[in-house]
Amino acid sequence: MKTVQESRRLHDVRNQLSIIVGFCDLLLGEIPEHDRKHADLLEVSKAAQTAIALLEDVRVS
Amino acid sequence: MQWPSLGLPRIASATHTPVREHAGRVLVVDDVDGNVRLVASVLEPHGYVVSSVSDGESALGEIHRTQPDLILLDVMMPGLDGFEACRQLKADPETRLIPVVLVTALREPHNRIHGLEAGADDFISKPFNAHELRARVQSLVRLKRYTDDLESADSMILSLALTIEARDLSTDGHCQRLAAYACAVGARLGLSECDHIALRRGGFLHDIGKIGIPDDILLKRGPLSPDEYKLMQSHTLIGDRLCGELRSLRAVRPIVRSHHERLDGSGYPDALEGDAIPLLAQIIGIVDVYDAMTTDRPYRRSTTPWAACEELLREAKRGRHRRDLVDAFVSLVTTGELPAIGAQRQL
Repeated sequence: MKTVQESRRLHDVRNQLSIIVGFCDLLLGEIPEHDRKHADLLEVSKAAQTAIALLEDVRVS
Repeated sequence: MQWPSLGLPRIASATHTPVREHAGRVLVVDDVDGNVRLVASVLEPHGYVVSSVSDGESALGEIHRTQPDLILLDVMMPGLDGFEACRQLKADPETRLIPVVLVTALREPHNRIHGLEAGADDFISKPFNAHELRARVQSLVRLKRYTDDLESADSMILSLALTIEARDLSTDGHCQRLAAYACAVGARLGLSECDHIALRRGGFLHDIGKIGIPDDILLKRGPLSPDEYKLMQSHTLIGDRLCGELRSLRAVRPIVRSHHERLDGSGYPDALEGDAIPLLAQIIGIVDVYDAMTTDRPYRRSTTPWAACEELLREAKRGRHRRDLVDAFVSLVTTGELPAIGAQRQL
């Protein structure tokens, strides 16, 4: 069972990661797929999404 | 919408539709600056005007001041949280029609239920997809615009009612008085809040159908010919049709249509008898008769409130009005509790 403080911290981390995913999403829509930056940005987005998924594991553990 | 207590209606929004230079005004309530910037980056290129505040308390003040088209509300904020802010917005008649979307990083299903219980219109989880956010914002802003248009229609029909009244100077203040008298009777009888609202609106709108009656009949001095009288009577049907399209006037329609019906079946337009005549229409019918008698008309001088009450009691005895309703009204007059408005004769 998580304490309120731990839950709050998890929420805050998730919140920050969501901002990264959100901006990546926006920029990915503007950068053409053949542009190398597109693939790089996709990695940033994937990493942030993986981190969010890992948070889920922390939450239930 | 806010109906006037007794003064002029708010008609500014009804007189013309302002040209909208933006897709909608969105207020973001979030204590994390990055979230606010993200929402602005998603919505602003599509024509939305995005503003922000960082806590629930400031949000309530800002929303009252700017009346946004949509509120994106973070749940976990210091001080007043999103659920409570939402609850307060939805409890306030001034703000309850503004769509609220709870945007949150909270995942547990009970938070969603919490949000719906607080009256939220939608729920978006972070991280959100930009297209999804835009689509939801667009659909809720569209809904808000429909509501605004309905409100305008409401205000417009009310201002129409006062326009009709303005055509006939001898009835100056009639709508205001009827609304006030009918509400006083409703309160005396212990009627519900819904009935109270209907009586107030009915007071203003009962003769809305007179918009379809030509001036030479409406303002005629002297008696009407049978044909003219028949045409004059049709204002009840015209009014009923006018109100027919407006959901918010559903409870007012029976008043508009049936306020000239009489208990013994001698009224119009349907010659209804007894309980078949809606109660609220009977109340408006009684106060309408009283107001007509106590104000000067082109064809006769006004009578005193006492004489008018006696006439109403005689009519009740003849079976034209319900005695208990007339008694309730007369008791208001005799105890001096009838609101004094405009040009009616004083005791």
